[in-house]
Amino acid sequence: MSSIARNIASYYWVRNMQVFMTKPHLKAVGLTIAALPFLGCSEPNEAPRVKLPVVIDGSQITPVTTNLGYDVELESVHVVVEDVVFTVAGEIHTKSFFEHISDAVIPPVFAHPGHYQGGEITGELPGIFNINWLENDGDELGTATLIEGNYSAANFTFGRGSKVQSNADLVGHTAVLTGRATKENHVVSFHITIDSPEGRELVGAPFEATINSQTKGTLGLRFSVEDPLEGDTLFDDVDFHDFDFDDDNSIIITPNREESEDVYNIIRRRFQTHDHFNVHLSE
Amino acid sequence: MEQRALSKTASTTLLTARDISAAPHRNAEEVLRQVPGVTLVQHGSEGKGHQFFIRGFDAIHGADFELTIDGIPINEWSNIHAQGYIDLGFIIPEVLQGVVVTKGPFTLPQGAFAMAGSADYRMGIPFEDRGFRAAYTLGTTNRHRLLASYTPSDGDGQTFAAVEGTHDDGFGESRNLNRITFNGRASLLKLGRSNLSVTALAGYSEFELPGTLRNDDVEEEFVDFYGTYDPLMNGRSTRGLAVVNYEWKKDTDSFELAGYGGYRRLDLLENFTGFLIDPDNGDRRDQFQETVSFGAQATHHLGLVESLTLHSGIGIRGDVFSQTETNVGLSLEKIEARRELTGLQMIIHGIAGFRWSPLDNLEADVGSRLDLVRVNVENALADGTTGEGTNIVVSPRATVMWHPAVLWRLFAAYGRGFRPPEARAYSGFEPDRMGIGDDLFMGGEPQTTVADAFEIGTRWDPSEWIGFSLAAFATFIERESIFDHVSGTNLELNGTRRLGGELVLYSNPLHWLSLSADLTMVDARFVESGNQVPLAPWLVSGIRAIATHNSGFRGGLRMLVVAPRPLPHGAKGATLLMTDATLGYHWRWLRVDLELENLLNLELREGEYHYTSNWRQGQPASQIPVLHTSAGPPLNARLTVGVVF
Repeated sequence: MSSIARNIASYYWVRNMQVFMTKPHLKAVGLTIAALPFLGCSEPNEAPRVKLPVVIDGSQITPVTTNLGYDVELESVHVVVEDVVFTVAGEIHTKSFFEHISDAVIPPVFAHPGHYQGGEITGELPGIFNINWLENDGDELGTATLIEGNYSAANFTFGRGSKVQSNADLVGHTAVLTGRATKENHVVSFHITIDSPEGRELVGAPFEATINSQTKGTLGLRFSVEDPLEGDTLFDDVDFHDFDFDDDNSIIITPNREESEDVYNIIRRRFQTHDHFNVHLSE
Repeated sequence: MEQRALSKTASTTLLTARDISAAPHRNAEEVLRQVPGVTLVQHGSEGKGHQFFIRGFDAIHGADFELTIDGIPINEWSNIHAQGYIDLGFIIPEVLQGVVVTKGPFTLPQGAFAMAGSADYRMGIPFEDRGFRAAYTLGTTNRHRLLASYTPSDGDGQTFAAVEGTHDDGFGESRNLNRITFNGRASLLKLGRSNLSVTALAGYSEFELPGTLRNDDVEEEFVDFYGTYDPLMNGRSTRGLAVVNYEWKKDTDSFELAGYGGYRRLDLLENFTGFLIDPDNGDRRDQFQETVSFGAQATHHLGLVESLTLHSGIGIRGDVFSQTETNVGLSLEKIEARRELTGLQMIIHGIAGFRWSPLDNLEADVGSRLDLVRVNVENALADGTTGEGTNIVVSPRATVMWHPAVLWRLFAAYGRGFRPPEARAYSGFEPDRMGIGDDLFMGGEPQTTVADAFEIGTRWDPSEWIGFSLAAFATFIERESIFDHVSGTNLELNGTRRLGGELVLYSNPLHWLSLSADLTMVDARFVESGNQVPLAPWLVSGIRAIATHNSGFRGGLRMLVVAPRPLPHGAKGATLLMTDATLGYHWRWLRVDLELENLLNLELREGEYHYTSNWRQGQPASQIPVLHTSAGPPLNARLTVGVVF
């Protein structure tokens, strides 16, 4: 161990260290090293969030003409909606607007914490909402929280009306639509009840908006009878007169009713797609 | 695979055995922390592979970063946990003579996954450790490690046998590790210019996994910074690899043929989201992968004239694999099978190029490689539905080096790197979708992702005591093909571009002292939106000092700074400052080494993420992403005492 002591006390070492410390570049290195610990103090920053009210927007519930020539006018639209969420398209490459909407159905990826590719939920309005689109047009559903970003779509879950919160027609059901269908001066009133399976999600309702800290206004949750992109309607292929079995100019379409099963399925399938719902930012 | 070292770019990094021993490392992957511009993150524990970041890429577990051992590919192409998975738990760091890191896909031998770069580990016992070596390590985390190695003391270190056994409780909770590893190489035949050798590598480990933690839960003391939500998360890793290598050299001509076979088994039980997806049973997920790998590759260098050498090569790599992913419940009972896939995947490649030195001070390597990707899979969850596909990618590569002066070199490089689709992309797996119109985007065909990279740079060594390298680089990806694991669709991400520079200063002011400082900046963005590529560091800087004195004293100091990382959705990470040191004394046959990690004892946010989770069972979950962290080690020490005869 005597060699250790000799080396520690070695004049050679001291001499070399003196020379070494006089080099200008090493002073710079020393200063940088001294500064490094201060860089270690920063804290992470959460993504900026924006609060915006969500309102019922019935402005797109307008009379339409179906492919069978019926002029259809809705008189009431009651729907039970749960947990509205808003998604960003992220960086997914899209070639058409249709793809753009559909890409938003891609659910969030939890396979790996480092995985990121867009399509994620970054905004939400949790809760159960009984929405009467025409009577309560403009009413506020609540305040949504959204991370700043370019939004492309909204999702929600179809619920069932409860005794506490819903009118009698809607109890136990997802939606009730009433209105009139007219063809060649023959008017038929209709009352349609729709039941969605438990947990049925509607994914990809268009919501094109850039949300940042400067964004003011309201998010309008819309229902439309006509698909604004393709022009087809919720009631295409529905021949209302065929279901007026007792010729009283009034028809009822409900689940589990054998004589109207086919038309019920047509309407329900269309109703549960994102073609007839959208969210609009009114600034 | 000597060509890898010869085709240098301005930013090529060569780690020597001295570099490797001068910085703390728990395993062979952590050696790469010394490479300028490379950032490693451990979001599991020591037994799990790292997450790699390099030049604006989030290479995850190796999807964009190729790793080879003496030229043999190590990335697990279609690992169930992550594509290109790298796990070097079966490599003993003391059996490394060096690592060559090429940043960017610029040289012909660089194969699949080298879009951001490659690391080639060179095995062998370093000079000063030759003979019989035994060492015992005791760590403050109740780490106990035994190492024994042997190589002829008068040899070149290429014939060796080494065995290592480790137990470590790890820091914090759920980081327990037990591992045993064997590495060996023997020269079977050495005749004249020929050498035939066989290499055997094997490792087995069992480990716990802490997962990632929500920052708000840590702030509310719902969970400790070094804690875990789920103490049952764990993993088991087995890997074995046998390589037979034949080399023949004569003047400027050489031929090398390598054949290899391997076995891999990985079992991971993890949960990153708590009770978000399944509020009743939780989101635990058991991933299992079993792979039998095989491959062969041959390279030939033919010196036509003094100034021109032809390079050619062919090779094949393949995997026969099975993989499953299962959701398991609170009592580890099976809830749902999410993946059950078997298959065969192969890449066949051909290489052709030349090295031309028209002037004494000018050297160019030009060529191209062609890779043919073939995948056949059978999906047991879809009634045995089969899928198959073939992709071809041509990757031109070129590097030029010019010496305008003796101590000054200029470099230019271009190359195309690629990432093959993972096997699941061919599986035809389609989960249920609800409420979606007829215009549903069903995803595209699996595509090979390619990256075109450019680099120019210089190295200047005006004196023995100082020098620097400077490189400017650019990488462009027109479209990135990915397989979305949840929706089961093949998607394309928008194009990205990465522009950056790397500066490395190095100095040897004394014959026993080496200093270096480096800075890498990169602006990585999606072209269309202008958004930053999330998670990838934009600024990484390091300072390193290595002292190896003839008296036997040695030491190392390393400081690594990663600037706040851009996270998804506009969130931003914290600065990461890692400060490590080594101190040792080697006297004749005695070795005493001390490793210190996190000298400043900072709460290191090694991995930072932004996604949704819910760990409070029974409470309503927000769907909005929040910050998550995986903790780096607090201050800890490891003391190794060893002997070399």
